[in-house]
Amino acid sequence: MAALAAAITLVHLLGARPPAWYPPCWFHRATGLHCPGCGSARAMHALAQGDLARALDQNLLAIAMLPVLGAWAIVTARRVWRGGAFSASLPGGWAAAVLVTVVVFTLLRNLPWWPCTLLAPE
Amino acid sequence: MTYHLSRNGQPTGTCTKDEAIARYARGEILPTDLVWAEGMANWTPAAQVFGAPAPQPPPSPATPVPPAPAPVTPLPAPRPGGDAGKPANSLVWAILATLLCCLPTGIVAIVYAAQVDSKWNSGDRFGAETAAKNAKTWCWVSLGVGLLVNVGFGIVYAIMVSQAIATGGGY
Repeated sequence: MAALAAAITLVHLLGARPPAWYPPCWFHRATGLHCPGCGSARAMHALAQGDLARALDQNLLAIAMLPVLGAWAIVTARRVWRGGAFSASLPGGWAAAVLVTVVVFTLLRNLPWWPCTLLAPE
Repeated sequence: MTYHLSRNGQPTGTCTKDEAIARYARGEILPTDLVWAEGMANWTPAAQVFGAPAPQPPPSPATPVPPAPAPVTPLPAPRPGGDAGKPANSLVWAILATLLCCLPTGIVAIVYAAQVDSKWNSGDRFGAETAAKNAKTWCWVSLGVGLLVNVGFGIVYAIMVSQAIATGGGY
């Protein structure tokens, strides 16, 4: 948690423009297509700047997944705290929903027409 | 009818009713082990399900067998269908691999994660465990290739920048 807070603060202090050393997506370099993760680093950067609109514009899926991952982190932390086993599982049926979401999202963000172009990162 | 077994709060597997009775008679299932099967409201100690423990040949006649400690944390009652013993689907890692490693391999991991649940629900225990293993493997593949490619890009980037600085070119 402290590391996460420090990382967010650091990114916040680094300024409004994502620095050039952010690792580029090799899949995008190689194919020109946007993978489901393209723009997620920029989205997190924008979020650390408090710019939710730009974050959503960069990678809607990554921002939408944040509450899911956050809820999982809290539930798991509480379970481990109480002596339970660590598990990276999410409830049954979620995987299928995530799969459909990721595939549809990836297809849509690569279509060249408005409003699909809104889903593509900058 | 499938019996789900657990000891000390940890699932220890499943078996048929006949197997469970035989293993209980052999002492492999302890009277304090918790048992759950379809139709039972809650996890129940084996002694209540299968009757009083069968007489065991004591390890030495002089020392009585100490009673096994009661389970520390009783498992919650499973939902209909029974999730006890279900392999972890690693879906969290698969999502993170898809979003952070920028790899199509993350999607493969999600496909296998989805198979864990569908196969488990259709009663295919072995298939679910295989899918869980594959999901985990593909998460590691994503992480490995992601690190490799990104470190590779980082080195190429660093060389480009240092050359640009050395030649005084505008970067």
